[in-house]
Amino acid sequence: MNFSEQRRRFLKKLFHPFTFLGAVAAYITGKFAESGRVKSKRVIYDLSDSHLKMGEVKDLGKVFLIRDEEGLFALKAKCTHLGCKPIWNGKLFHCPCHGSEFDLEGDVVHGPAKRHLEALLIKKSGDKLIIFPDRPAPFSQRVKVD
Amino acid sequence: MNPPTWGELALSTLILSFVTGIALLFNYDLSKPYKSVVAIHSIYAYGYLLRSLHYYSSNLSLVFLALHAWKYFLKKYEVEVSLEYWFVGLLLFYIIVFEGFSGYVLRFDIEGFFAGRIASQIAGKIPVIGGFLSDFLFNSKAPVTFYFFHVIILPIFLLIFIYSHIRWQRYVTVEKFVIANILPVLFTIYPGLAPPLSHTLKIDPIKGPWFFLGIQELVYLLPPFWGGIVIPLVFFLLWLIFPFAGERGKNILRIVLIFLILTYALLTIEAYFFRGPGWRLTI
Amino acid sequence: MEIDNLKKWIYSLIFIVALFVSVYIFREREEWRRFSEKPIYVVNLNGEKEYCVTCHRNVDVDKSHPVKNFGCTICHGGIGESLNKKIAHTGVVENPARLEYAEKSCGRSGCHAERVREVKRSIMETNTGIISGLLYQWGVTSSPSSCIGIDSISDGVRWCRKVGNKNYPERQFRKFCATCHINKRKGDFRGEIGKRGGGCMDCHYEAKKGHPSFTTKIPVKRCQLCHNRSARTALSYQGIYEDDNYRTPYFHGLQRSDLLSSKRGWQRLLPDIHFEKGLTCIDCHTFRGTMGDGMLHYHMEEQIDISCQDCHGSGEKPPDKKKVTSDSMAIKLARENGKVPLRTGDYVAVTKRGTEIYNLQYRNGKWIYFRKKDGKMMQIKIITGTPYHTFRGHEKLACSACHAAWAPQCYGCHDKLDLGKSQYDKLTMKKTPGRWSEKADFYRFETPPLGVGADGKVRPLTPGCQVMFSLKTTDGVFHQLNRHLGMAAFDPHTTRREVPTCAQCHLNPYRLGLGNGEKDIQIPVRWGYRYALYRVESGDGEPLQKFSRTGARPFNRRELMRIKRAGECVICHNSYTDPIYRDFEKSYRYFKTHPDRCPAGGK
Repeated sequence: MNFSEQRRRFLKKLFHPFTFLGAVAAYITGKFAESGRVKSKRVIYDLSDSHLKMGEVKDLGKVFLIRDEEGLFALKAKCTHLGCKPIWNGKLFHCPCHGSEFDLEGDVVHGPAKRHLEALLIKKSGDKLIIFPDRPAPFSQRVKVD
Repeated sequence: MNPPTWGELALSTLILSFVTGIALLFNYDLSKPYKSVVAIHSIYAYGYLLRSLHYYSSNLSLVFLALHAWKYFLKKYEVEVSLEYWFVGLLLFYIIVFEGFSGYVLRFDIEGFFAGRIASQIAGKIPVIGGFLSDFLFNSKAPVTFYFFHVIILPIFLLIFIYSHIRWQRYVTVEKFVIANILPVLFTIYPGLAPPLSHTLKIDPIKGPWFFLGIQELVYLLPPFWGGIVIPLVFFLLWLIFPFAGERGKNILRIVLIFLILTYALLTIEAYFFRGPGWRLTI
Repeated sequence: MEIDNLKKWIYSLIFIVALFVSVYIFREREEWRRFSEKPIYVVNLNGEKEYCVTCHRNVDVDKSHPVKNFGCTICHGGIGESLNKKIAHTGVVENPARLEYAEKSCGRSGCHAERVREVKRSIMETNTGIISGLLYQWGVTSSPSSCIGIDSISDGVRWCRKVGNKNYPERQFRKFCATCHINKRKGDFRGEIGKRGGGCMDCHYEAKKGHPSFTTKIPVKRCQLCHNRSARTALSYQGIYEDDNYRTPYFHGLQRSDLLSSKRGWQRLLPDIHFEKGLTCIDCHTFRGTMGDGMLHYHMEEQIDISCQDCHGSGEKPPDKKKVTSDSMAIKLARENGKVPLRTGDYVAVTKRGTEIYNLQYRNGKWIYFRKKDGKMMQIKIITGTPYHTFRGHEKLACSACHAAWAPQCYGCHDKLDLGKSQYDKLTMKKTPGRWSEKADFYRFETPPLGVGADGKVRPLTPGCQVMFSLKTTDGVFHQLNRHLGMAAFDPHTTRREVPTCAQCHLNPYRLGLGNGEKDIQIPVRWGYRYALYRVESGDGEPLQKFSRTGARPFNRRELMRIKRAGECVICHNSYTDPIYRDFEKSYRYFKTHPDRCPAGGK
């Protein structure tokens, strides 16, 4: 069989209705499997909107964006005790539910909480920062900023 | 296109059952089987659809298989149906019945749970290996056991034996696939035909899967060893020796087997409609 | 494309369309049809999605237990993944604070596990004190301490058996008293009885629209639900005195309509000074004293964790103090309270049993008290070294002997059991034959008689209880049966700064338990008792009534003589700093040998 015949038979097989049915099946299965995962959407912050000052904490809903001497990093806004959202009072993160307190770096100052606030992965894309609420940051990750 | 044969229809529904089963694997959680089935049923995208298709295509495949066997059972061939086809076919039927049953148990609601328990108790009545079997089948890790059977062990045998039975010749076309599976789709749409899922509290009476209702009635009327082991075994053996019997033997066997099948059907109907709380006869 | 292929395509398209139509139609029906919006969920503490909030919208508990983070199934059970009502509510518990379920809800690991265990053995749940007292009072047991409770329970050392139904006091308990225990079912009866109970929610309940919230700032009215009977502690604390039910004074010509439960009238007297200053019951009674220490106790004083000296110090020494560590209960409680400031390293007072009193703190050389309800800083009087609290001769006086302004005294408890009628047994919730009723002879509040408690300290006495039992049998005949008269020493919770003058105790026979003497006219003759009900001893110091604890007694003869002796001098020498009291024995001998030195004459 020459090449063009092979190609025709291959294409016929490729565009067979069963392939189409299979694609539909794959789509349904994919949606089904994904809905079983509890996932959070990425948070995007545009640096050109406003630069953070040293020691400033920006509340982005589910994450905090913070700047310290070494750069920018993101902490998950979820108290490690029972999950309430901590409030930044200028000096410390204070959890309104049971009183846990964390410092600027997310370490526990006191409180029923025992673990520090989770540092999240940030990726820089041009002038935008993409924060992944589901993925932990590599060790002491900092985004350098001028 | 020739009209699809029962065997082709059975294969088509089995394929749909297989595919939907794989999809369901993604969200079935062995650590909390019942809750994950409830979640599939209510929450996840297309969960209800997949579950309904899976349930109805599996049950339909059993119906089609029975009709397929019936056809060959009644036929008088000039050419003998090869023994290999017969045996493998018989085995396949039983494998698919147990696939369906293990799937039923995997729901682990009150009905599924007790179905599994009863099956292991009946298996326990087999002499010599009974004790080992009942412990092996139903213990605190029952979800794992039934899961492995339903997802890996029986499907592997299924694939091997189907290949051996039909050599994967092109028995299934798109048209036949759609014709076979239009019913499950319709059942998904029709309100009130949801795939069964009950809660985990007491129900009275607990009725097993429809294809085992006859056995449930049998083990009530007779001691479990006779109703649950001996009679099904006899049934199996009669089917097994059928091709070896001569002309007259086949006719006798046909009458006997038809009688047994009819009795089973009657018992099923009686168990479905006329058994109430406490398994007492109620109208 | 060939015709063959086209047919295949048509078939497959039909199939796909049917698939998606079925999906669409499904979304319109059954569970999903009910909701015009998408079903909503919260991710609970276990990380699971639960959909309870789809139907139970706008439910929230309180700041410490937000539904957004806890979910509902953590406490209430059920299947959160289902939108089908029946399946979702499988195993749901309406009040998971009931002590049968509390281990899985409030007491789950990581939450309040120790508290649940302690509360189950707390005396407010077992009621061993009430039952022991009743059985002893009625003469069924010979000791006032029996290990008999609402349910049989053990703490590893003691094992208390369940209260039976065999004798009169047990029956009276089941029909009268048995609603005042923590695990009683809430809402089983109308009125005040129905408000009691509910497990952890018995105390920590705070009503609000929708789901109740939990509070640690338990108001006095909550304690009052149960403690408005017997010693009437919660009532006296607020200055409420249950009287003979005259329902005076008139308000705009009408009788008082704001009655206590069971339609009892009352008068307003002086409240406890702590109540006046805005302190509630929990300002003094610590969590350890109220919820227990996990051990079974016969009587409340074995479980109570606070005493006046823990905060005010004693004459000899000031309150004990302890430095607070970062993981201590004091810090946790202060943080939960939110109003009382406390930091690691501060000093707080400690009770005798070692519990930290987190709101009494030692700062800059001074003791400061913080009110729990709003954190207000208050002065507290420390009595160490003051002359009235180091007075020789008064060592055996408890604080309440002088500082209790009044005490509710309910004399003569006429119990009647009518076998012809029936009444609910509050423990089995079944109506059984035998209806109890109870009425007092008379009520008093002033100058309660004094006596000696089981610990040897002098305290006010109140009737506890003076049972006079009648039985009406089914043939309608009344049988006057036995009487059991008893008194109890207690702290009435009517503390005031002002105290009686010396003469009001030393020269008042009523106050010393002698009644009004031989010419007393209030004598329950029909019951064969020859003395007034408020008379606890004969002139020789012999007790005339039973006392509710082993070792409790009226003043004995020697004590009476000594009190009388001092009484001879107090009319003129009525100051604590008077030099004659520095060594009273010496002064008395001098008085006897130098009759001319005193106008009273040395007799």
